[in-house]
Amino acid sequence: MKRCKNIFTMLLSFVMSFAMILSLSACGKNDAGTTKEKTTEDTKQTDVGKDTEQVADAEEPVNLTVAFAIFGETPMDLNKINEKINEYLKEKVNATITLLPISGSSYSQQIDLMLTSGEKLDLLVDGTITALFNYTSHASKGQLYPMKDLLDEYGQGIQKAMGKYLDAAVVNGEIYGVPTNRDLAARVSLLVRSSLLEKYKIDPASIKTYEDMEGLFQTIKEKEPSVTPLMIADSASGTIFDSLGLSFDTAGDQLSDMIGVLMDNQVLKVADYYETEECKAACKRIRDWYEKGYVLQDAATNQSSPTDLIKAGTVFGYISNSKPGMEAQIASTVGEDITEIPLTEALSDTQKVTGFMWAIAGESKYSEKAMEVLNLMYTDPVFINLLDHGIEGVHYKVVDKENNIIDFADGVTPDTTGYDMNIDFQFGNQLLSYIWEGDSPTLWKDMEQFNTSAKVSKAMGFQFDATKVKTEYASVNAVINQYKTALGQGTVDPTQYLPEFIQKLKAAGIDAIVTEKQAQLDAFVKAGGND
Amino acid sequence: MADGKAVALKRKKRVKLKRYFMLYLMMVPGMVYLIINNYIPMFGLYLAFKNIDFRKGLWGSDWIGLKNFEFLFKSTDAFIITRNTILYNLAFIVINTFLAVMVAILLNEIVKVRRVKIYQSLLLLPYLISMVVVAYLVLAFLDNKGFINSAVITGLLKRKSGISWYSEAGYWSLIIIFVNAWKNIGYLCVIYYASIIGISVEYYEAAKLDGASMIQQIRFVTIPLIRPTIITMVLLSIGRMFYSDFGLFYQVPMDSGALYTATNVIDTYVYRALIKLSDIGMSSAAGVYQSVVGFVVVLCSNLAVRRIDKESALF
Repeated sequence: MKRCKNIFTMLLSFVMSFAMILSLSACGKNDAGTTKEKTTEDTKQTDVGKDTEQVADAEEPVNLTVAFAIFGETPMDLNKINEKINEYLKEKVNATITLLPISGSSYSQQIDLMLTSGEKLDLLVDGTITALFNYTSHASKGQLYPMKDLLDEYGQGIQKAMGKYLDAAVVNGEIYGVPTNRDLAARVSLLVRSSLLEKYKIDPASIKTYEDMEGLFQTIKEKEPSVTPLMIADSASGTIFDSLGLSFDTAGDQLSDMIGVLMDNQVLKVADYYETEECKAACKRIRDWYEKGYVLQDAATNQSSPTDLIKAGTVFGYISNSKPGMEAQIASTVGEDITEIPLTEALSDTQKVTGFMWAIAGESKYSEKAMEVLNLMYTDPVFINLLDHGIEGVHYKVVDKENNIIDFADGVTPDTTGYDMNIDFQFGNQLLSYIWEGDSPTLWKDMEQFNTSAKVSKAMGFQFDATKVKTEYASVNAVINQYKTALGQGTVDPTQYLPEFIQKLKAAGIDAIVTEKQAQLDAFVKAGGND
Repeated sequence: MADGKAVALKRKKRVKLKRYFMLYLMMVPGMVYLIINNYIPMFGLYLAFKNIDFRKGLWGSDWIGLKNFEFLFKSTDAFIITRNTILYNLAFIVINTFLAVMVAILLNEIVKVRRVKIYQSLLLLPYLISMVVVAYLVLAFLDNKGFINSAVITGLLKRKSGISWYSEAGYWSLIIIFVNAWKNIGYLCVIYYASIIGISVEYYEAAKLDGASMIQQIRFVTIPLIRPTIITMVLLSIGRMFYSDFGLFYQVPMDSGALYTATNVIDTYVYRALIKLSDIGMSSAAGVYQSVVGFVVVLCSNLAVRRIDKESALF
């Protein structure tokens, strides 16, 4: 008995002293990393052989794994479409692809894991939208394939379609991703339910300033007590800083992460936004709106998106980045008419262009084929429409050949269709795809006009590399997480919390980041800037 | 002479090995599991001292000494998160142990077996619920229009407006301790109950003969006899003192920034700080820090237990 107890205690002591050594990421990633190292060498050795093999053995098409983010369920007919695409691609470039949709909520982690572990992956959607992508980090850590030479050789179509926008993705002098062709600029707008505007006879054109907005919210608040007049930004936990801060108050540039910004996008002077008078005013304004009941009272815990709440009838409108065709797009999501009240002119900056991009995985064995397929995605309407809308006659039918207008195929409704991912903006050149019946027939022309006429930030193309100040960056992020939402949604009093926030940012080292960002920006301008 | 002694000792060892061979064999799967799952990943410790660059590979990346650890102590929050982590865990250990032992003793006093089973299952149920679900249960109570605000504060107490729970940090230390106790005592109580029913009835009979009351029986028979179990369980929790239940501190307060002074612990801080950087070196550094401090704490507390009662110490 005694002996048994000793063995038991020995085991226990083993378990307890070493179970704790299992640290957060150290465990999984270590094994992944070692295999990765091996495979890099393998690929290097086989790379040369592979290419000649491809040429010689022309019958065997190369298979590429293509990852992208979806925001909903995987569509029923994805496999059917994948087959159809493969038939087409085999003929065109002697390649097949395996579409790999990954849910947006876990996209960033899954892609990180795939890139780190060397799992088979060739083409992927990457970008600079935080919480979804991590392009800059992937690029600077060498996890993506350098594209400059490939673009010259196989990607002329991409170069022609994207032109100077390609420069926006440059990291350390090399291109690791190509932006998709979609809305490459944004204006800030108030999107509201048309029915209530009409009911109270409000002219949307009359709303231009904060005072006008407040008048509108007051009317709604008084006459429709069950409706919250406004959601401050385009997400469940968005803040006034994201939506109005640098766009409406000043035509600024967030420089991707809001940590060190340009208060005026034509003046290359990096500043800490949270210290500025503009930020103070924004905090005060949103606090005032919160106290008056113009914005959600349970903002701190809200998990529903603005469109969900509009659909439920509990919210009147929200502030969002907008583009041509936005009214129709949101109307179809929420199921009622939406009116757009533009608050600013169109602005374009690095983040808007690099939001969604295509990249080639650093360990892809078929980087050249991948570029060929990618080139088709920017030039070939057949391929693009297969990806965007599915199979003609099964999922959609063309109703106006001349203007490229389509509608659901006979007997198919939005509820029964087997292919409706609504992520056309990810699949290369959206401007070459069909236009849905109900959208403006000139949608893509308007979009092009919108993109070219947008006011471009002077820092266009600038990407901040945080590695030199990563200690400060991590600490500053932790502080921002703590204060940003509460202050930017008005749930706490800024006179008490804002000074505390600023002081903590200073302690965490935001000044060092601002200085470093300024230095990098100066170097970027010296090297040619965005011309 | 000395040789003879050594031979005898050897023989003794061999006999021992033979006699307990089956027991050692039974240990093998556990050891293999431990080695694969807990020892091999310890190579990861080494990542904490490197600046990982995938182009150079894991082994080729540059050594940067303790630079990865800097961010942990850089901000003014370092004190708050360490304090929160330690104080919460201390509170959990004390309160959960007390409540679990109490409930286990009460369970032991129930004679009808069916009832005991029902109570036990009901107590264990919260332990099996995912933290995300618990978070929404809490939200149902504490939301602006939740149960507490609508039924208790504005309904029963006739206050004008409810409390906006998710922006007032003051209440949260109590809420967190309460939720943790509600969720975990069921499990602990099962362990204590198991060791209580293992106590021979003779002790109680003898105590009764000597005229001991119910309270005295608990104090002088039950508690001393389950003391080794209590000490083992407490030591185990002390070993994890620098860790915290991520779900409890992240999900339950709905990641509300205004509550961070009360809800930020080392794990959530590291998560929030590094989610945008996805820096392997720095995350490993945080893990190493927690492990090393946790290890030291276990050694110290075991030493303390040894001083007081050598038999109960783990090693």
